[in-house]
Amino acid sequence: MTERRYDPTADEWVTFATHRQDRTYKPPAEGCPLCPTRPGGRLTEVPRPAYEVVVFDNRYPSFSPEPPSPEVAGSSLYPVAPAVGRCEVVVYSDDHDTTFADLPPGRVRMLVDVWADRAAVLGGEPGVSYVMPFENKGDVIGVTLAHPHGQIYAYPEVPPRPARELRAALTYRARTGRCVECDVVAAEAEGPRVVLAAPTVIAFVPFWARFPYEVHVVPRAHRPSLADLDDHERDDLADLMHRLTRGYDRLFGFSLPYVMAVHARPSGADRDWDPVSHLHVEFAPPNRAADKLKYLAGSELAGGAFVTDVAPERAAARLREVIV
Amino acid sequence: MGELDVIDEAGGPGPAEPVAGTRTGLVREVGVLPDGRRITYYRLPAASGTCPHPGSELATDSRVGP
Repeated sequence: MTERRYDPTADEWVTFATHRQDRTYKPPAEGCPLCPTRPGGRLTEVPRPAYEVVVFDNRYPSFSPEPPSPEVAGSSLYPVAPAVGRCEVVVYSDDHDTTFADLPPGRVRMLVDVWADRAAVLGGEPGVSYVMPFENKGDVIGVTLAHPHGQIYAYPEVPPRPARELRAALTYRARTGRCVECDVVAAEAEGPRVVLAAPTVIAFVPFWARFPYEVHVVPRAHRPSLADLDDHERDDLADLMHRLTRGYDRLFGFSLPYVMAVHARPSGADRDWDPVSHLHVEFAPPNRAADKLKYLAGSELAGGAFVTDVAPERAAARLREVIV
Repeated sequence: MGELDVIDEAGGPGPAEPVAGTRTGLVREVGVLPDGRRITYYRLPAASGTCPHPGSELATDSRVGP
């Protein structure tokens, strides 16, 4: 069953993709579906003996271009809708044993171009309202395939968190006439929460960090999407993301799990959202210490109110110590 | 564990086409897997893993003090 059901109590859509229960779950390295198909070897999802970056439709998508009709009947109280959209897998390398942090710098730079291209391709498809590249890294995040990869979801509506950001940005702009993220960048530049800074991009622990070592990587200029970045900005974005993840791996002495996501303008030909859409990449590692995780429990999950265990200024100072 | 179905490329990749919006020379080849799913290969004209922009690794003295 694949369908979307509307929650009228929260004004949100929830997607049901029950076939994903059958997806490949933590196969051994010799059975990895994302490895290349070696000559004489088993066939995998990628029918080539070698590749640089490859993107393909997820075998177990939450959204698809021609989804089935909902199995349940909707009503005015409970609207239902087909799960139109697309879900892609982005494989970073044909090396099973590497990570984003351990990729060569040029490959990270290439990924920025790939994400920009996928956002353009997917954003132009019928029924797609928002494209979000992301990476889930680490067992504790729920990753089911160890091979270095990310995903891209092309949603039929703007998902709740980006939508909430856009609403907040609209309100801020109505009050001040400015982009809130532009003001945040200006406030953070060279401040105590900055972790990395390049000529066109900065990385900082947000003033309001919800996770102890959360970092946002943001272009200094107002750029609504990856496609709006010039090559120098893409260079800087890739460089900072790469250095940050390498620093993360030195933070506690192991390859740090995280959720990484790109927030950009909604898709579509009209650029009405551009004045309040400021591209940023969010990294949210779940660790608050080497052996302790930040769980989303009562206050966070039930109340939506985050309580964070480490002061952002202290987290930024610690990250600066481990970033080379 | 889900079954790992055997995949073979049905449509085969199309011709390499340049990716717009970047000066890196990135190209993509779009193909179709036998079950109809789309697959896109991206590659750089330079050797894999090399930095496309000399100096980009030195883009900045990125570390900023408190």
